[in-house]
Amino acid sequence: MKLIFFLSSFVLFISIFFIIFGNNLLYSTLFLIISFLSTSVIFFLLGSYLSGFFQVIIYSGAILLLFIFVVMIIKDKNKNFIISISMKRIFKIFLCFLICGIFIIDIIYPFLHFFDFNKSFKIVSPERVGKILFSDYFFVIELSSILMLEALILSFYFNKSYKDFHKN
Amino acid sequence: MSLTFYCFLLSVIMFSLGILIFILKKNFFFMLIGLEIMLNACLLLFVCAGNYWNNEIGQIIYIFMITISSAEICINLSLLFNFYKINNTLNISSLSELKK
Repeated sequence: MKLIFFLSSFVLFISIFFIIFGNNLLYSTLFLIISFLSTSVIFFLLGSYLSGFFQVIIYSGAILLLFIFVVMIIKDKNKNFIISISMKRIFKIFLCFLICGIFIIDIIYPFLHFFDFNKSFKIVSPERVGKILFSDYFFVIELSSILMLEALILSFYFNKSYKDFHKN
Repeated sequence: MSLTFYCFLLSVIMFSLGILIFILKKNFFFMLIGLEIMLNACLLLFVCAGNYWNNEIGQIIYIFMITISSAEICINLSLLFNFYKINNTLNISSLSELKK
């Protein structure tokens, strides 16, 4: 179990490093899909099967497809975002690692007191999640569907052409 | 050490790499990718904590956050498309010249 976990996390890190050092939009999106799939493997290992299914179907299958469509529409050929080695950039990376180090210490240190790390995790079945989701949290589901509708209307409004905008 | 500790560590490192992408890249699209990686790390942390305490709240928060993130991506990509139509580039430095 631990071997599969470490393998999937290794794939995740490798794909994220390819995103950092890459300059092709489409390849970076494909590496992002690989990283999300490896995250879904970790969800399955933890015993949260519903999250794993959602990660594969909704995240990797639907949301990142939008990314790929946008890349196909844009065809950006400007390579002005390649990481150049300069003192300013090295200072930025150093500052970023410093912030991230402080962040990691801040998050991990309280966990060492609150959590017993020798205790193993429990499997939470999709049936249990569904029962609570459609009883206690039913109103929140309705609100989230309204939020999705708002996002749809807003994206239509943003992509309205200027001619149509001035006509109305 | 059980898998929970490694999951917490993995999510924190993933969040840090997302911040790194967000700071280093000057491209609008890559900044969105960095945001996605950060959000994914938070989702992993929620699910891991929910499974640790043997309750369903972690996965329910995961479902609500995934709806919020999909709405956010929808709006962000439409903004990106408009940005590209005006500037013919995705370089974020030209955002200061958006008002023409």
